[in-house]
Amino acid sequence: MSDARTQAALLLALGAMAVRLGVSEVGLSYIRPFMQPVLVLAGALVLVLGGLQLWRAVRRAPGAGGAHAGHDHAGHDHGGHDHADEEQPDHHAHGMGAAWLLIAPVVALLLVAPQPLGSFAADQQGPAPLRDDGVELGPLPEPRDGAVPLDLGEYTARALYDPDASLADERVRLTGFVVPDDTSEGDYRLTRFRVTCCAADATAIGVRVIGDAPRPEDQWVTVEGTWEPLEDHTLGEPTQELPVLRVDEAVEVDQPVPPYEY
Amino acid sequence: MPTLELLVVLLLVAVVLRPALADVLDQDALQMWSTIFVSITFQALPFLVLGVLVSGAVAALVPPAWIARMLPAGSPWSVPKAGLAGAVFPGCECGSVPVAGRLTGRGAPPAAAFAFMLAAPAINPIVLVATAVAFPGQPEMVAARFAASLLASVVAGTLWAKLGSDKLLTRVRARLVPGGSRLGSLIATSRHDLLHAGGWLVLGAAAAATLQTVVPRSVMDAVASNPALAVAAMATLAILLALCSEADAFVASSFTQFSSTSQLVFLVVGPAVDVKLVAMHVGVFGRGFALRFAPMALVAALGSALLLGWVLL
Repeated sequence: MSDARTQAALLLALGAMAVRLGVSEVGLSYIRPFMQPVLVLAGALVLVLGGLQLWRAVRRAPGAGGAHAGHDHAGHDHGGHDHADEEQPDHHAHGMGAAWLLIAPVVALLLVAPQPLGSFAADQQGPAPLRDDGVELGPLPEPRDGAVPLDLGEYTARALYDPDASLADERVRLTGFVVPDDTSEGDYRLTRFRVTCCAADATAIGVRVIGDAPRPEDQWVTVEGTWEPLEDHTLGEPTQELPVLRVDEAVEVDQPVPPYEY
Repeated sequence: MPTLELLVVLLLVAVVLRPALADVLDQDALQMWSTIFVSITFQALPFLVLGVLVSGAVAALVPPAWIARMLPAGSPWSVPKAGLAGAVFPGCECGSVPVAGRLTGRGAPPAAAFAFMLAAPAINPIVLVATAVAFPGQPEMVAARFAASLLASVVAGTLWAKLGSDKLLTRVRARLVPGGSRLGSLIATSRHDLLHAGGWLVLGAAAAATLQTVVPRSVMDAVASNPALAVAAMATLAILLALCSEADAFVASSFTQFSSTSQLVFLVVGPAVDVKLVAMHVGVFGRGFALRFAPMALVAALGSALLLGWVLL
């Protein structure tokens, strides 16, 4: 019955990893915060399925004392399991092949250092600006410590699509990571991913930063500065240009938690 | 075969060799691949678990006679009824595949089970609300998605009834239904379906992650910006990106340069056919089925989306 124990081990490993991603900051590189409790619950259910399987497999392991008696005995309290096992030879014949793959995400997480999407993924998507999503922009948030903190999504919406030009004469503070930009006079593209469901649907939001020194790729940085309107662009019209921020103060920071915008 | 020992060795090797392989493993492309692969897998896991629990409950609690009464094999209403039933199953496509597999195993007409499988991830309330949020001020998009996906599921089910062959459902038919106590068979079925569908989900997630990593999205966008190709391009994107049906509306709405109809194509094709789903179909129903059914689902989804796009958008 080593296959039954393998199945149990696969489920236990997968369930444990799900719970770990559900309770730790690492999980936020992959899924949204509100999904974390759901993932913990799902992981716990997978652990229960794996645990029951392991318990049953160990009880009837050949060589274990009284295994056969235990087998017959099990009919009283766990009759269902025993009958259910009659299908096992069938799906072992062709089933374990695919089930083996369940270990792949666990191995990937053990081998490849868990990281949120970074500048490589942002380059894959190209430097197009976030498009106008038509969401009503309220009044600008209150400044804190001398600057209005905005996420890159809201900065883009206000810098490109706000006919009232609410950013005029305002000092703003943005946080993102550095994507080097050779194609324009900007020093780099301050970038952060917006995630809807999970990292697979992440969209890179970029803001062209001018006035700062070049910085290492993927370095997280918080910048302060003022909005620089695009030439030849009417606010509210679609454009292929990134919004621009003229920066006069920048500090390198740790990767924020969560790493994405939502 | 001592598979458990192999598994232990594999995990040990992974942990022990990690430092030695750091240069290889920390490359940007591999890291991006891993992030997307892991995120698809674990985002889908709760929905898969919900799906296999429902499928276990179908096996353990729903008598075949009841399914036969609700979805009679010869009735022309079985397929549309099963499609509409999808409206109350709050999952995404990863969950509906094992449920459909179990319905088939319990005697539902396969065509009806497939209509449910295609409709459930596309027209349930969670997905429709997500669509409404992603397309503010365009309630016709929600209506078009509901109608087109329901129509596509019925058409695909009917196509299968006419052109398909239930003999291709090798995996479903070969599987015995566990007997014994209800809780026991619920657990055994759920575990079986989780191992099975889960393995194929992982394969599909790996394929989708590879495509996202290797093909820059800007290239996909460039191909899609040709208006004549927009519909074909959006259908292709839906198949390759393999997004969860609860997220695809937000991605579709970000393609603002595309016509509403081609966005609708993206929303209707994605939950019906994508690389991860085809992998799961192979695992749950068999390879012959997957090869025959995917084109039918694609034709049904494309046709329904174009028709509803023309009428409503």
